[in-house]
This record gives sequence, structure tokens and C-alpha cells, in this order.
Amino acid sequence: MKWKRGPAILIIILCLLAFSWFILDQLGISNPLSDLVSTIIAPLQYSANAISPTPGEISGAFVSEESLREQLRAAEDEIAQLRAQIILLQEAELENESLREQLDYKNTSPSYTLLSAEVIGKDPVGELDYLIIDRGSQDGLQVGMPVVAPEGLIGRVSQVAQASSRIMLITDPSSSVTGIVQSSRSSGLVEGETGHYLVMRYIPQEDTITEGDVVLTSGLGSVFPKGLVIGQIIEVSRQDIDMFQTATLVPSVNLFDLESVMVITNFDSTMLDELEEE
Amino acid sequence: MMEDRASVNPLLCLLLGVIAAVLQSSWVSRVSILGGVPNVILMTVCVWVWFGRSEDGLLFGLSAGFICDALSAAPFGACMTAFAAAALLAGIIDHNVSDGFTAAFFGIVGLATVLYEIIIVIWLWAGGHTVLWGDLILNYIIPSVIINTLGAGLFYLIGTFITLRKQAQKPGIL
Repeated sequence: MKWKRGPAILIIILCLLAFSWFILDQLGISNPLSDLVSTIIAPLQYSANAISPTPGEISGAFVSEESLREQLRAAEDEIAQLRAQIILLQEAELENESLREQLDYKNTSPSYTLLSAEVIGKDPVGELDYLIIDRGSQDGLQVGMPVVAPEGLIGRVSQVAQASSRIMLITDPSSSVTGIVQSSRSSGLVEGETGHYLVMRYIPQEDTITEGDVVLTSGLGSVFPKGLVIGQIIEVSRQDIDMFQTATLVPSVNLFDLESVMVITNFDSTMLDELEEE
Repeated sequence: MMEDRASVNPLLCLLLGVIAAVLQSSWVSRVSILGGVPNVILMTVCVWVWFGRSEDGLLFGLSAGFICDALSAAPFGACMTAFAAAALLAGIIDHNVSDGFTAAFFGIVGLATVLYEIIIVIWLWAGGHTVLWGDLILNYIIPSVIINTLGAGLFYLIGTFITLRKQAQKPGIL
């Protein structure tokens, strides 16, 4: 087969460019090409994301009227239940305030500054669970900052470009978070699994954990703030011959359909160490 | 037959590669079927090699791979080598075995997807990423191979349409 000169020259240029990029990456030198490509591609991703319908919108177009009525009824019931819960929680909050005042309790829980960001893409390599957001170093983002949603923990910033950043989700197999079961206070290590599930390992055998228990961040390791919801246990695996038990979790946040996230910009990992020292 | 295939402007190949990479990382990556994600770049590479010239398909794959590498957390070069290998495999099979045999096209897409995934996983493993082999094969690679092989039918139709239009535009021999 005879190759034409035009494509052959471009292929050689691309390969040389890629090789130099690879060498810069391996040497750990700041790569100006990376910033340039990210800056050019981020607006394109944003536009592609804005004009294309989400999977939810596509499936929503085929929902019948009867199904919508049922969903509305269920939503109304849920609102009524939530209103009742809010009233109870407000009562509890007032009681809590009064008890705090009586005990002269020092409020040590820090308040976090949140920066909202839009999800403009996902990692094109499907084996990896990473998101790309439309905020970068120009917005003050730094590697390691925790990323959350109202429902709970999402992940942390793993790479920052000028106008965009990459977020490693908690479901990525390389991610690990120290967690604690809310009800039993059992601790363990929550790791990502392929297929958008999480596995909590190294839970002491004698601890009682059940399906439906909520798992929170423990704050150990100072990577994430304490008390963020990670997920809910859906399966417990316990064998007498093992030293530890294992639980499968479903993340509290639907990580597949995320459209916007919030980055905690003022979380300092030393803050937890100071609190522990106090 | 191979020499009759029309070539495309190389710069257009580059531009289409960039557009495909942007689409793959934004809209397409949100479409998950049975845990697998369709790979429009890979399917386009196979269609391009089948209906057009191999070097154009390779150039498209490399430019799309370059952008994917820039956007991905995988080690740089993973996508480029995976798409290039898939394009070369598709070209070799197309050139030697399957000339004109339509069913072979779907076999090419399936094999190209397997090769692509193997190369990506090896890059991830070499780059220090945690690779859960069994989990990955069962929950991601097998669904992706099935989705790409079936989804390639749509790309085949588009390729056929473009080829027929180009043939209709050519002046007659007589």
C-alpha cells in the first residue's frame, strides 16, 4: 500500500509531539502543552455538554402521563413527610442550642467555603472514574481539594489546569477514603470498584453492621473533612475465618448523572490535626 | 479496490479527530449501556479504514487519541497507541482477509475494541493505577465490546451512504 505524503507527515508530527509530552510528564516538568490544550478544549466541552441532552432528559421524553401522575403523588407524599421531619429537627436544633449554651460548648466544627462548578465532561478512558469541571487554577482550585454535592462526598481534585480541573471520583479503583459507620462507629477503608460501587474493607469482625447503615468520612488521614456522607451499605460479607468483614456500598451521590459539583476551597488538612490535638 | 478509495484532506482528518474526542469526553461518556460506554472514535476509525484509506483512519485515530490523552488521567500516550493499534489491526484485516465481506466489518470492530481495551488496561497498570482485572473484564470490557460491535451498524450505514454519494458524484467512465 502506497502512503500519501500529507497524512504521513502529520502522523510523524503528532507522534513527535506526543513523545515530547510523554517525556515532559515522566520528568515531572510542568507541561505548557497540557495547559494550552485544556484551555482550548474546555470551552468546546462546555458547549458540547450544554447543547446535548442528558440521559435523564432523553428517558424523560418517553414517560407516560400516568407515570408522571404517580411520580407527582409520590413526590407530594415525600414532601409531607420531609416537612414533618423538618419540624422535628428544628425542635431538636433549638434543644441542642440551649444545651450547648448551658455547657458553654466551644463550637469547633469549621465552616467550609464552597465553590460551585459545572461538570463539562468525563474521562474519555472509560476504565477511569474521573470528571472534568469548568473551574481551574484561575478560580483558586488546588490539587487535593475535596469535592462534594448536597447528598455527600464525590471525590477530590486530582489535576488542575488554568480553566478546568480533573476530579477523581470515590468510585475510581485507585480511590480510598477512611470511613466510619454512622450507627456502630465501626471504621474501615472505603475503596472504589468498577461499576459505580464502593467496598468498605478492614471492618473489625466483632463490630455489628447491617444493610442500610450509612457510612461517613472519618477524617482520619486528613484527606477529607469529617462527617461527609459516603454511601449506604447494601451488602455485608462476613466469614468466621477472616480477621475483618467487608461491606458493599452504594454511593450517596448519583455519580453518573452529575451536572454540577461543589469544591471545598478552604479545607486545610492540618485543620483536622489541630482539632485532634485540642 | 483499495487504490480506488478516495482520500480525505489530512487537516480535515485532524479536525474531525478533535471533534470526536470532545464528543467522546462530554456527551457520549454519559451514555452507559450495561456498564459499557460506546466508543465513537473507535467505531469511526474502523469505518474509515473499511470504506476509506487506512492512513486517513490512522491519522483520525491519532489526533482523537492525542486530545483524549490530554483530557484523561491515564498516562499520556495510552489513547494514541490504543487507537493507532486498533486502526492498524483493522487495516491489516481489511487489506488481507475481508475485502467486500460485510459481516467481517463487525468482527473487525469487535477485535479492534478488544485490542484497544487491552492496551489501555496495560498502560493504566504500568502507570500505577489500580486495575481490578476480573471486575474490569466482566463489568466494563465485555459490555463495551458488545456495544461497539452492535453500534458499529449505524456507523456502517453512514459509511455506506457517504461512499455511495461520492461514487454518484464521480463522472461516468463512458
